[in-house]
Amino acid sequence: MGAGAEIGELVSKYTSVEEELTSLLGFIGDTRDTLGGLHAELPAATDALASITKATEKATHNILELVEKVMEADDTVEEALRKVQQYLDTVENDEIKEAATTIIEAHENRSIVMTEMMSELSFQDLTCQTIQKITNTLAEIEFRIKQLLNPETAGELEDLDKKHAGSMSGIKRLEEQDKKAEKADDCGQDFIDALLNK
Amino acid sequence: MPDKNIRILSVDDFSTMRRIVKNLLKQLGYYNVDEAENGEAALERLREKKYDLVISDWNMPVKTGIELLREVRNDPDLADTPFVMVTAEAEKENVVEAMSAGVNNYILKPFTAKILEEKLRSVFPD
Repeated sequence: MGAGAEIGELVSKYTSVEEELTSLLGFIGDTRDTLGGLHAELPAATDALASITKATEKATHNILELVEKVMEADDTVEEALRKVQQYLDTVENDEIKEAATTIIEAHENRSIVMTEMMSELSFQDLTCQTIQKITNTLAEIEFRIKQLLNPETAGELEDLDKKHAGSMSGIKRLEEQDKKAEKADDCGQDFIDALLNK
Repeated sequence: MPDKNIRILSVDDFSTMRRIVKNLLKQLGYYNVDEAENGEAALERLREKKYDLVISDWNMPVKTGIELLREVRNDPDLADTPFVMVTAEAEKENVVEAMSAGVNNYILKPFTAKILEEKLRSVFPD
């Protein structure tokens, strides 16, 4: 091959590489723009989740207050019913006896229901723990995108943990949780009881 | 009825959960219940006065329940304090970790008053 042909081949290869690099640069630029858009939306998503947590917390406290009021009133009723029960055997009128017994039983059932209602409100705790995990994940995604877009100003993951001390201290734990999730082995209360009583 | 002098420390970062646990304990006859919002606050409370039982969540900011348990067991003044973990962490690994750290009992969320009563009976059999 003559020198001219070799040069021609080199130029051709160089042009091809240049075109590929230009295309890659364009792709990187588009990706950065897309990530930039996502990065801008993430805080809104986090805020929305935080507002769900606040709203459910407020509603749960309101319901708890009402349940507590009912239970307080029930305590007063219970005291009165105890006195009624003391004298029930001395009552001769069967209808009154039966009515009093019905009231006492209804009151006991109501107390049970109120206690169950109280337990059911713990849904808020479980819901918000899940939301917290999602929020932590979003924060980490936000951080990683920031690292890609502006590596000089992104800071360190540890700084993010410190900045969001408390709710975000689980970011590192999140990584461990991901590893754990791969070999997740959940158990029920019966299994736990058996383990503890071994 | 339980001893009215029994003092319990309820530890959870969610105020609603602390309120629920306090109310359920009241229903069971335990009226002396204090609260702490994380493991660190709980330790401060434990060092201020004596508690007969700690009921703690696992996942909390600042100091988790398992970290609190380890510190309690490593503190000669607190080591014998009964400790019950109340948590949504259902992995066997976590249960074993808590047992190794010296937990007295482990309750999964959500739980009923009946379950709480049963588990407390293991701590206060009388």
